[in-house]
Parts: sequence; structure tokens; C-alpha cells
Amino acid sequence: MNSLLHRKSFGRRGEVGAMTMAVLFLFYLALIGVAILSGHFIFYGKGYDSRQVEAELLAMKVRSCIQEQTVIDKLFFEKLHERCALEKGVVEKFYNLRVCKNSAECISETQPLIGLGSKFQACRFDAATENESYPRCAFVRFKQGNDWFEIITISSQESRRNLG
Amino acid sequence: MKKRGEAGGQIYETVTYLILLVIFFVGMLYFVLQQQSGAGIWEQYYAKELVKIIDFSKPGDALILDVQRGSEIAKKNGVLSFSTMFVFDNAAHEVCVKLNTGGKRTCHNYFNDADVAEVQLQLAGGKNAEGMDVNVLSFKIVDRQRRDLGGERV
Repeated sequence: MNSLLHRKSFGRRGEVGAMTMAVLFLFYLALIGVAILSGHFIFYGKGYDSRQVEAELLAMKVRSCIQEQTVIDKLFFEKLHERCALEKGVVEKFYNLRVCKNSAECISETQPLIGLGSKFQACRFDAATENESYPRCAFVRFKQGNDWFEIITISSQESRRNLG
Repeated sequence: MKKRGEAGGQIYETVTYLILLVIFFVGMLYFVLQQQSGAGIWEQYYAKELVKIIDFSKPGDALILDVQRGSEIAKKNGVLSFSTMFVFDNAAHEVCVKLNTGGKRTCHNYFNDADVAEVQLQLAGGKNAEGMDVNVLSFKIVDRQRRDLGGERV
């Protein structure tokens, strides 16, 4: 009887040890996996970032559009997307756009001609250019007639992986 | 009896560990080899470069882009039909690039309210700076067409 009990308790100790080894084994696998993935992401980096160029392109396009107009009024800015051949859905989803007229500082202007989005304060930060998490801003300032226009654009579009 | 039982248990455990190990390393190897060709980063590159070109263009512009590197990667990854590499969706204003045989492709949107038409991938259709034949992607920018499902504008 005692030897039977002894054998049973010995079996339980063996099982606990085996379970511990299994957990340790899985832990080591996870550690190796994390090391390989980390190395991959460090080497290949975060991808190809074209947000700065996209913001500049949008600013340039809006500027050209304004410069081609003979009459620049409230109606023009209400229908800016149609007048400047901009796809409204894409601009509203991925870009921020602010246009000011004769303003000392467009970023903090309370009554811009057009204001899409609200991330413009981040454009003031010098350190933002070093941090990939911050949006990428483009500034354009030009004179049209007797008025000074300032355009600020921000691109926050990241490419997506879609099925297909 | 005791030793045979123990041996059987040990073999069972060892085989289980080995199977787990093999599955893990095959998975890691597959992942690393997939990334080695850099298909993901090149898909992003081409999608974003095409979007930049489209956003910069106006209706009437005809564009030609050297896609030799992309087509080499696609061929290496087993893509059989080059016609599926670059897809332009005018309704969604989207460009999608696929350089592998996996289920996903990399897509990016353009803000230019124009359509992309006459898309063609021409093998050895152009020459690079060294005078060597390269594969090129050509397309035209045209005015936005009205959509049959009630498009916004003509």
C-alpha cells in the first residue's frame, strides 16, 4: 500500500516537472520569435514614407487653383473640391487643409477661408519632424492681387493591405 | 515494466517538442524568406510613387513608369500574370500594387479628381539610362467620368 502511494506521488512530481519544461520550452520559442521579428522590423524599418511630398503636392495644387481664379470669394471656397478637381472623400479622410487670407498666423487663425481637420498645432513643433508619429505639414504663402494667402496642408495617409 | 513506461513517455514528449520546434522554425523561415525579396516595401514604393505622379498630373497627360525592379520581384515571387501587378480603381481613387502571390495587395489613395485610363504594362517597352530594355507601365490621365451608380460629377 505504501509503495503504491509512494509510486503515485512520484508520478505527480514527474508530471509537474514535465509541465514546467513544456512552459519553459514555449517561452524560449516565443523569445526566439520575438528576436527574429524585432530584427526584421529594425532592418526593414517602417516602410516608405511619402506624407511630406503628398502634403506639398496638395498645397501646390490648391495654390495653382487659387492663382487661376479671377474671382476668389466665399462660394469658391465652399466648392473648392469641385473647382480644384480634388476628390472630396480622399481629402477629408487623409488630409487636413487650411487656407487663410491676410492672416498673421494661419495655424491659430479663428476664421480661416477653409479649415478641414484640426491637427495644425502639431505643425509648430520643431521636434515633430524627427518623430514619425507626428503628421507631415506643408506651408505655402503667396500674394494674389493685394491679398496674402497662406495654405497649410497635412497628410496622414498610410498605405493599406487589402485583399485582392 | 517501469523503464519501458518511462521510455515511452519520454519518446512521446520528445516527439511533441520536436514537432512544435519544426512548426515554429518552418513558420519563421517562411516569414523571413517572404520578407527577403522586399516585396512589401516595393509594393509601398510603387503605390506611393504612382499616387504622387497621378496627383501631380492633369487630364491629357500620358505617363510612363519604369517598373523593371517590381516585375523582377513579382516574377521571383511566382506571379504568373503581370497584368494583376498594378490595379487602378477610379471609383475609389485608389492604386493597388501586388508583387507576390499572397492574398493581399498594398493600396494607396490619390486626391486628384481624375480617372486613370489606358493602363498597359509593356515588357521591354522602354529603355533605362544605360540603354537596357526595361518593363514599363504606361497610362493616361483623363477627365473624371460619371459613374453609373449616380456619380458626383461629369
